[in-house]
Amino acid sequence: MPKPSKPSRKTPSPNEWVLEIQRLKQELGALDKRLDESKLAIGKLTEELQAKNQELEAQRFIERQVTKLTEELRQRDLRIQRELDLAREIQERMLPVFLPDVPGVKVAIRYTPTDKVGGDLYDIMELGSGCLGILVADVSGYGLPAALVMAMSKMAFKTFAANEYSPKAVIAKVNANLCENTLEGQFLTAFFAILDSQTLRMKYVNASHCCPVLARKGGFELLDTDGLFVGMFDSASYEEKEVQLRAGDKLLFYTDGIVDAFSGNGRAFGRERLHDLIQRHAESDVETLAALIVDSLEKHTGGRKAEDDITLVGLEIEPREAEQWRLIIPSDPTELARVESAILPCLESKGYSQRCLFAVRLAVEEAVINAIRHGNQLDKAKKVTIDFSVDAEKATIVIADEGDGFDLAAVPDPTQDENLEVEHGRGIVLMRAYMDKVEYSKKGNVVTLVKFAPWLSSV
Amino acid sequence: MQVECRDSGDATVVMARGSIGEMEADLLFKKFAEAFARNRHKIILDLTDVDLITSTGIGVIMTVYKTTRSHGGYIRIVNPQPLIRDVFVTTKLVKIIPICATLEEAQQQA
Repeated sequence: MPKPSKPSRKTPSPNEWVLEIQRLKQELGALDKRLDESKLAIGKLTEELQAKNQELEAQRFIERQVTKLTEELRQRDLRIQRELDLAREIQERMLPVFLPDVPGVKVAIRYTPTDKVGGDLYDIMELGSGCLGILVADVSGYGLPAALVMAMSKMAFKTFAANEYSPKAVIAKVNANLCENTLEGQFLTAFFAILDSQTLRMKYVNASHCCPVLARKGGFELLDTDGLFVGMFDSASYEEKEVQLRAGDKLLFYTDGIVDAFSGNGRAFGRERLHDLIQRHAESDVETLAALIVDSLEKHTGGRKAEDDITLVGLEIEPREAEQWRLIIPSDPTELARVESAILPCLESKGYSQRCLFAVRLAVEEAVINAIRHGNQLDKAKKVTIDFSVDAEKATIVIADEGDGFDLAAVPDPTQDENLEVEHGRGIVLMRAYMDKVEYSKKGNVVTLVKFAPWLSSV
Repeated sequence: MQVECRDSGDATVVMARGSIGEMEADLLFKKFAEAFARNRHKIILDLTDVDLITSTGIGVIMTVYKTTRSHGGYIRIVNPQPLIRDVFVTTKLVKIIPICATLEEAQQQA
């Protein structure tokens, strides 16, 4: 293998140096230029990078914002939900937990609140002396505002009903109170009644609320009066009406949630359908009737969630148990007062009209005086026995003396022209005219007087 | 029952309040008897505030009717409530005893 030869170098000439330097300069220039170019490129890249960074930053910012807003929204939803829960709780607490147990009055309640709290309100209050306050109302609007007005209304009704025995006076006071304490546009429609469970007389005021229905054997009545919304106009005045209830009567109070409930194809349940249903089943007891109405409503809406609260309060007057007693008095006319005060308040409490009470009072006085004066001849040792009984249909009073009786046929008719001027003997004529039945025993010392309940009597 | 009497022109107005039955008949008749004792036999019986009248009360009125008639006088009834008026209709006494709406009407009757 040959030995590598040492490169031979020739010392460059000055010209060559110059050329070499020029070449190097050129190379350096090119390098410089390339460096500059690189710098530019790097700068551009840096810019791009920065832009990218900013973009990323913005995106992150947006993401952060979205997260924040989402959270805010969630909190707001929670707050609204909490408010609704609160409103619902207020509404639920405003409804009676225990309904008063009033003998002779049966109650059936159906109540379904809507999720958004519709402001329906009902109450049955015991007002003392056997009187019941009945309230069914619907507050305008939904949610917390409705629940608050509802709470105020309930308290106002309860407070004023405790001191006033007229629904008109109660509702006027509630109106004044609410006008002072609610915001504009907050009001309620209300039906308020006071039912005397002894006399079965019910006084009521309907302040623009859905008319309750009174369903009775062979009858159907809507309970309406004049009167604007409650809590809207401080000058509002209310009309009061009164109705005499009787055994078997059913009252149905409700709110517009029932009649306005829509079916799948947008048809409202409607008043006619409700009235028709009640009329067709007027003989059913109130619990059955309430169940029928709710069933029919559910069929109509196809089980869809209700848009508004649904409230149905049913009342039924139950037949009273028969009452009977015996009173034995000496043959003394001053005992009459005792007989009357034993009979008349009892009949009055059962709903006997003033006309019926007049008739019974007159006939009983005639019969008892006849027994004392003519039967027992004012002999105080002899007694007069009075047997009294009353049931859903009639009052029966049997008056017996210890005398020898008399011959009914022998008593001249005092209404004949020739007898008109006689001073005695009109008692039997009056008893016959005013009672539904007057029967003497064969001997003539026992008379039975019957007065049909006013709703069955022709008098 | 409460009874008030006052003279008004040539008539004596008897105003009764409450019920006119067995327990009240004597008191009522006493008031009429006082008027007869003063030789007043034109009687106007105001029943506005009477809430019950029985056959005994009617008996008193019949006695007054006969007494006043025998002295050339009369008894007229003023303003009975519908239930009380019915008693006069039922007993047919409306045929012989005039029932007037007002005191003036009773006084103006011939």
